[in-house]
Amino acid sequence: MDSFFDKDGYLNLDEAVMNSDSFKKIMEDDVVTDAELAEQTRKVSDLFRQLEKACNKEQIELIRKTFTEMGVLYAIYNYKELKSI
Amino acid sequence: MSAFCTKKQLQGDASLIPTIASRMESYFSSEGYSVQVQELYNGGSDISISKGGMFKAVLGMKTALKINLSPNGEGIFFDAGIGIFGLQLIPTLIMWYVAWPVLISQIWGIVKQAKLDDKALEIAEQVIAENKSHKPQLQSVELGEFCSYCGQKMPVGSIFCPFCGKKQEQL
Repeated sequence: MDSFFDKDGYLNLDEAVMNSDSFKKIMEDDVVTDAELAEQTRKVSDLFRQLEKACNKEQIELIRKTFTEMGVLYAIYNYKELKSI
Repeated sequence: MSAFCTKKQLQGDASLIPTIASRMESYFSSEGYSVQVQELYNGGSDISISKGGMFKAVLGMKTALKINLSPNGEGIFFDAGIGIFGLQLIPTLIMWYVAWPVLISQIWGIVKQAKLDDKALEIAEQVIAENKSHKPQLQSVELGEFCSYCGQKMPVGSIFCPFCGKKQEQL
């Protein structure tokens, strides 16, 4: 995958999620255990540390901005959903 | 689904919901869409409209335009938004999926561009309007003489009384 978008212009991150070993392994029994949650948290933390080492200051800023804005969207979307209940 | 949806309260009898659902199914099927209609316990209907390439599978689950028609007070509540086919667990996961707001806005944009929600609403309103025009209209009748037997006021020119059926003596 060399693009964040598929041929129709849709964000394709969910394909990466669905095909990831982490997701497949954790979801195969439809149960998420505390250990799996802790392991996935550690994995995400480690990846951010790897990113920091692999990227320069500007790239880190862009990554930070992307994650922040996505987080903002996720938060406000769910906030709006909750308000409409 | 409040952020990306079309909602409207329609002034029509709830008994028309199956007819509206059936009309939507016929129309969108003829346009090449895959349509699924599910009757609900509350007398409403869920209509799922999808088409390959237009809607995106998210975490492997098909998305679709989901139209919910529900009895609401004296009318019908129309609610169209992006929904998901499938089992309970995965759709719930999708709602928690961090990129879902991005994807739903992209898919909703395509739906708005194709005016699918507008067309569905137009069909619903059309069925309601047709039903109103087919209902027998109360005609205003000019009343004239009183019946010489029962005393009710009869329409002008009546030979027989519409209330007691007795023949009126012509003056």
